[in-house]
Amino acid sequence: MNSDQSNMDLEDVLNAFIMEEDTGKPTLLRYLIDYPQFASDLVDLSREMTLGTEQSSGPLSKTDEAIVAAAWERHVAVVPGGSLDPLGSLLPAQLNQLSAAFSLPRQVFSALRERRVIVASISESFLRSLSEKTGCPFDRLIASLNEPAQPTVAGSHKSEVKPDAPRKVTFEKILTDAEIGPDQLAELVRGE
Amino acid sequence: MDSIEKARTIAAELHAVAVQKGLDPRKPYNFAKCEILSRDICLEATKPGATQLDGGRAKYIRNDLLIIHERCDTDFENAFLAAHELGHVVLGDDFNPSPSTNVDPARPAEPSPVAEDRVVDYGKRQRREIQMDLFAREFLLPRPVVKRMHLVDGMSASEIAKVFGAPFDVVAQQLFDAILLPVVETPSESPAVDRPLNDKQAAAASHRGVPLLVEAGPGTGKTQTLTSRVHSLLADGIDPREILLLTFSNKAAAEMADRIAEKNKEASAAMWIGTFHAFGLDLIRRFYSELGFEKDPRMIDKTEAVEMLEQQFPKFDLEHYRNVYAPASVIDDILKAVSRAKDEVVCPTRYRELAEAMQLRATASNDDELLIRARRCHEVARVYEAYEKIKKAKHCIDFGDLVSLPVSLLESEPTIANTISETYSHVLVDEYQDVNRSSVRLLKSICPDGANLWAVGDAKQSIYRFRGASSGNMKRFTNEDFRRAQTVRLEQNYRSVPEITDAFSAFGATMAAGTGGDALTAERSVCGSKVALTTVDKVTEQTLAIADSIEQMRQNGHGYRDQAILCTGNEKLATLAGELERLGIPVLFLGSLFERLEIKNLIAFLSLLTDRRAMGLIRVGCQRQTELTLGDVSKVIEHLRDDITEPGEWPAKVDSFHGVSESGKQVLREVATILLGFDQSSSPWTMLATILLDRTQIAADFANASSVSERTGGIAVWQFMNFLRVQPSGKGLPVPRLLKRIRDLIRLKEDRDLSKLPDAASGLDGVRLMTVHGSKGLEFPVVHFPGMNKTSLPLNYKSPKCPPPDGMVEGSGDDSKAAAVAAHSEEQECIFYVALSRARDRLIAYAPTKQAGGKNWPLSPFLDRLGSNLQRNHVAPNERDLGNGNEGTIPIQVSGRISLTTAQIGLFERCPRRFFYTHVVRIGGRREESPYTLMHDAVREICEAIVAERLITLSDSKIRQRLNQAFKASGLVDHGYANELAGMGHKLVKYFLTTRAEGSPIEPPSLAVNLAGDEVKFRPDDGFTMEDGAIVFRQVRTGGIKSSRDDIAAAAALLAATEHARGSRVEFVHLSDQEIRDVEMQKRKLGNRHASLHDALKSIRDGKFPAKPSSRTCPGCPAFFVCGSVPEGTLQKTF
Repeated sequence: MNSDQSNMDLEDVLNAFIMEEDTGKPTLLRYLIDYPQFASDLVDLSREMTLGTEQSSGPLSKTDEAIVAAAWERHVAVVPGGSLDPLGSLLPAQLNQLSAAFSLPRQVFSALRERRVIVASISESFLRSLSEKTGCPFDRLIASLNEPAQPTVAGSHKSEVKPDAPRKVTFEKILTDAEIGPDQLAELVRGE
Repeated sequence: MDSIEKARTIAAELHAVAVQKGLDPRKPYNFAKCEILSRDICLEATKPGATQLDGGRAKYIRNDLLIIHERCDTDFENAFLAAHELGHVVLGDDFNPSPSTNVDPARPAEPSPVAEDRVVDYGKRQRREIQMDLFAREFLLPRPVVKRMHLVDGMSASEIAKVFGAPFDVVAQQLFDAILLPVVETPSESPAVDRPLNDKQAAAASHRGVPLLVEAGPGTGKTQTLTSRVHSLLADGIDPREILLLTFSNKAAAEMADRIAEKNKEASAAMWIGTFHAFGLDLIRRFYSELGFEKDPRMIDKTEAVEMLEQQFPKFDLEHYRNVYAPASVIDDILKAVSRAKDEVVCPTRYRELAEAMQLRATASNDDELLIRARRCHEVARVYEAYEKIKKAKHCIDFGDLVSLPVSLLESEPTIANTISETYSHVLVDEYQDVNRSSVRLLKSICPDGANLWAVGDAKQSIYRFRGASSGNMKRFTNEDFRRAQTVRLEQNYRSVPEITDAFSAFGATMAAGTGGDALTAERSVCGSKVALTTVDKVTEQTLAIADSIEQMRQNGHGYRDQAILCTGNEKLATLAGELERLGIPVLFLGSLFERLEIKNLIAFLSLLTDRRAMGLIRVGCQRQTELTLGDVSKVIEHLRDDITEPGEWPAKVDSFHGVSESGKQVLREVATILLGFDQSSSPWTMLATILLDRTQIAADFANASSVSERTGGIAVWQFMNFLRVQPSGKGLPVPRLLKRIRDLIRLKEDRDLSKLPDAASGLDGVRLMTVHGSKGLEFPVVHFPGMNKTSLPLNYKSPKCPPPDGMVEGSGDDSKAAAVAAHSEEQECIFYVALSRARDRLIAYAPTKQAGGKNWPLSPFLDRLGSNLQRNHVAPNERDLGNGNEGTIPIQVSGRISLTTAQIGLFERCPRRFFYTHVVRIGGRREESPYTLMHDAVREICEAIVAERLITLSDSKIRQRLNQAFKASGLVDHGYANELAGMGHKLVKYFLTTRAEGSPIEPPSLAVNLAGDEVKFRPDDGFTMEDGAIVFRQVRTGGIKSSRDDIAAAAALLAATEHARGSRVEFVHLSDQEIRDVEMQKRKLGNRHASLHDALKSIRDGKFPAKPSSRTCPGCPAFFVCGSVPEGTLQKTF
């Protein structure tokens, strides 16, 4: 994706991180989102800088690992020929652009990102348009959307049993939920 | 400041900043939206039930920086959902929060500590959701804002609700929080200082592998050690979801979670932290079908359990535990025994087996006493069996089941036990000295051989025997339950000065629960004052001595709020509180919530809707805005007594009340306006909230109060409103049902937890008053400990009404009684130990040395076991008025003769105040009706008819006929156990007939004893001329032998009889016990009683009507809800 941040190299990013007032988890997370390609270096640096707290030494805790994993996922998504998650790597600002471009609420794109939608229920014209606007090849987009659903609930704290992957639903359901009017809905579902 | 209060503070700040930026909170959705947008987060509505909500009502999708919420009907509801999610954003929640399902804008900040709320998992997720709800409410309607609008701008809750477009009850709850609770101050000192761990603490925290028992005496940093262990496990890479931390109470669980969250928020939310009972409930909910339930079972509390059995009671046909009058108390006793059995995981079958084993032993050794015990246990077993059946059929479980059911499940299903034990790789248990046997067995199932089990406790602080705890569990940890276990003992006390640690350590070395050599060393330096014992002569001087000490401590720099008075029992607290207040010492004490006048004043409004006689006016007439004179109130009640009015109809009749003053009528009309729009079917919470915040200034008055006692009253109201909010729905109308429930709760002593002060009260500057049990886990700079007499501590052992069968209690051997006595005396020592160790700087014990008659009152032997660490002194405080003299005097003017019946004078002796309400104000003496009272009424009718018809015999079929007729008339015939009740009634009538076998019946005359112009009438139920010519007058009682045979009523009967016919006798016939008892008094005693009769009548004329409160009888008194102060003015009375 095109953003200013891709022009900065590793050293710039690490220096910028050191200069932050707070180099704890929230800041680290922010940097990981912005510079996924430098994920493991950032984590190393952050750990070095937080000596004396519970994050000082030893192996990464499970939550740390999850952070790195998520960041890495996004990083790989950017690399051509890399993993199949073109939508997942989009940043909120870009999602806003998409939302405006399609005149659709953000939640529709969240549903797509979480792969909750049955691909066959989406009109081809919409998919092509989405492929074009995201710069992701059509086939790869389809393949990614066909992956199993992945709601962003990292570890349900309620039950001891892991939650099953939720069932996918039709695009029409998502759009109805989002209170889209009948005309626009028809176009998005059937391409009319 | 706890995490909820912190969240609210942040929310209020955000609100203020937003308002400054020009945003309008009167458009709540827009207000919330702007705040959300300012954080670069999107906010969108979605259809209710939308897929993406995943079953919730709102969700924060963190990766997308998007909040979605279901679209609600009102702007405010939408705003609330948005603000709730905003809370997740602002408070730095879980890595990715789960969807919010249980959103309640009007929820109280603290759960009501009664019934199911006691157990229901206020666990991690629920705690977060509660926090977010309170954040949201505070963000949209900050307390300072609504407070100002109500108190300064004079707006009602409804008006405020309109301004913000918010529902009434949300505004009302927020106003209650804002007005009735003191403002929580930001603490000036930093929170719990985290010192580096000492060697022993570090060893305990870093221990791995074999099970470990940490002996942590008072003030040794147990909590810090525990949290350090958790953090060390996390640092080792243990997944927090695999850590199980079991605490003593929900409150302790929440505090632990907060402490751990200070360093690691995600882990704290991921761990399982809660009580054994909450954990058990979780297991039951997961495995209900394996446990044989068709669906998720419902929890019932003691009052419901008693109700269930009360209906069935006639069927049991018990002999030793028979009670045909009011079985509720017997049932309560039996249920205690059942609960004890569940503490030991003993099922009904096993209970029966144990009883039968006792029976065999008794017959073999010809031991009559053992045989009776065995039979009693057998009766309990029968009721236990039936109880379990009824409960199961209704898909219900009780408190004891929460642990005993999962234990039986896990012990019989190793695969399930395995699943659980594999989930938790580390188990920590707090307060191990308080776990009962079933909890230990639960632990053994999930921690086979105790691997990675870590428990901390102090055997010398084991004071929860009544919950089945036993300090023996600590000893058994290493000896039996977890054989490979090691122990670590924490030795440094950081809390108290050496004078105090030396004192309790000296005592500790002599305790049965101790293991010898358990002394603690104090970290702090010597303060210069030893533990003191201050003795006084008379008990009335004790309070004065305490007051003097309190002031002395204040001079030393310990404010009121730094001092606590601990008592061994609940009963003394209220009296002590009242006396100290009258001496000018502010006291922070809630006491029995429903018996506080502020609460009775509110209940009175409710009762005005259900009580035909409107006796609630007695309380309402005492309140500032609705003052009535005593004369007016009693006139109204008289009118309503004669008139047949429907409940709530009295307002329409105000104009017709002759004799009521015009100003009184005006006030009555105002009261009617206050109640307008409500009736018996209204929700009590809504009605009182409306009255408090819309229609009167009652809540505002609390807010403007300055004294500690008035502020405490406000807190009591807050507590009461929370209680009302969580009342379960059920059969019948809400208000009558509520009133009945309150009586039941008090009778069964289930209301104790309501006496606990909410956290918000901690800022008030008053001396704390609580029982030793209530002080558990707390500490105070100065502790006062009165009542150190031999009879108070140690308390004598009292056998439970339904003792357990031999062999049931683990570790008690064959002689369960001896074991119980030993355990009791061990616990008494622990109570003393706990009390001593609460003090940081000063500890003062008190005791009177002489009893009322001047006899010596020995001190508690425990004091001698403090050795040289105790400094004794004796004081003679200046006399001051404790205000106990004139209480209960009511201005009254009696004209004409006083004429009372023996029953009425008997009532006067038992409780003059009740007499006043019942027979002077005449609110009516009708006690609560039950199938049993109806049966007794029927029996009474039949007996009266037998006398009138001069019958001596009646065939069985005729008796049955008459009973049937009477049952039909009263509706009792429709009762499920009408046959059994008829059977009981039959026995009573038959016995009555046998009493008529001797002598020839005479028409019972009206007798009276003349007392200086007044009289007490005696109307015998039956009378005979015996063979020897003597005349016998009889009074027939259908219930048990209750009142004494030598009280003044009996004396009056005797005097009346002898005035009529010299040499005549009086007898009381007790149908239930099948006994006739002679009323005989020696001359001197009769003379005394005669004088007492004169005194009683004089007291009535003088208006001396003090109350004689008793926790046994007050809840059943018809005047219970109105008893207290009376309206101003003199009452004119003709009898």
